[in-house]
Amino acid sequence: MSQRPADSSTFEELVSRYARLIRSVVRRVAGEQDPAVLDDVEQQVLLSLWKATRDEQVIHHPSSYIYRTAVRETVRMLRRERTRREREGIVAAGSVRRVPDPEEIAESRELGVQVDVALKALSGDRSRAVRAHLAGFSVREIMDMFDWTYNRARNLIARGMADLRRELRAGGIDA
Amino acid sequence: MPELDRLRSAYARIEPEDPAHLSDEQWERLASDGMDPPEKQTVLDHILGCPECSQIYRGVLTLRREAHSFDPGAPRPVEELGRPAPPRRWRMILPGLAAAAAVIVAFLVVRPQSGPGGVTAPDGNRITLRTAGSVAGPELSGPVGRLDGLPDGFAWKPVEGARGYIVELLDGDGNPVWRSTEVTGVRIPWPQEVERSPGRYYWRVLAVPGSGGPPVPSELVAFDITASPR
Repeated sequence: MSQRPADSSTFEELVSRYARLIRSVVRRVAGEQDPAVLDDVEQQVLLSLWKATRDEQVIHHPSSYIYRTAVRETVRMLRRERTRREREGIVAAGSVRRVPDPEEIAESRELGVQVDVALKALSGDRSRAVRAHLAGFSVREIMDMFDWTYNRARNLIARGMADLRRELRAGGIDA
Repeated sequence: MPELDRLRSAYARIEPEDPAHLSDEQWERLASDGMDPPEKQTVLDHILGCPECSQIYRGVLTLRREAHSFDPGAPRPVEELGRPAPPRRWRMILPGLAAAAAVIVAFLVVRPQSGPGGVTAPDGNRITLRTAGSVAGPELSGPVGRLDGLPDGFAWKPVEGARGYIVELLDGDGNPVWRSTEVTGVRIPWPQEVERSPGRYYWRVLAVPGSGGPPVPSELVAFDITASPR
């Protein structure tokens, strides 16, 4: 059982590519920089992908099956990383950890209430664009999320943010 | 604090209206275009108000955007899915349309008269595990599942328009262990050079179109050898 075509795009290679991609996703999205942690993520994903695919009797669409399994593993790994970082008090690389004082928290929470009210006054797509922008999604991600063109995403964000500021100013908030 | 950061910080403190996170199954369907618009809108509304799900969604979007570059079975990136493009871009997408036409031709040539559909335009010279579209490959007869005895070969149903077939066998780890030459029949004996050791195997058949074009693979089927060779 050792004959292996040297130039084969194999099942193994496909799974390995996904494991490396998920490692990269965890690094970029969760901000994880420790190579040991990332190696562990890659190994965990590799193992999980193999277990998931080997338990199947018939894989009707192998690579789309692996893709869905990879999605599941990405979700699991990002949840795991978030939990680990919260437990260990780790902040994203490059950021400065500063504990806000109670007054700041109260002020931010009050502003949040006003922002929430203002967002509800915006039209559907503008509200979605602004919420995505405030949630930290890039224009590219917002395009993917709502299947919008670049121009549409940019216009909705710009006009929506202008609407939001207007609503906040009308409510006496300096924004 | 810069104004946008201040607004983002305030936004993050808004309590989500729907505190229930997405299930694994919902994440899979969202990432595979398997949600109808109302459900998608509902889950996106949750994601936009939930920092944890926003982070996960950012990862899922990244995975989706990059997976298609090495796995044709992954969904195409959103920008390739038919957003309206300026007229001058027609020249750029013509090669893509030509490739799609080639796939359709291959589908028409190798398509069986009935049976489930669902394979892609593969690289016919290498073992690839791919999928896409509505083209069907050969339907495999056996071996499949847990075997009481030793398999004596591989059998499948004929595909109309196929010139021949190629069988690929993989071990339980997905490593290719054997590939047949092109044969014209629908049955082939177990290769002498491969020992029938207990364990899991995968196999599939590629149908080679009579008029050329890439071979069309069957689904990948697993079987388990439990007996030892005498």
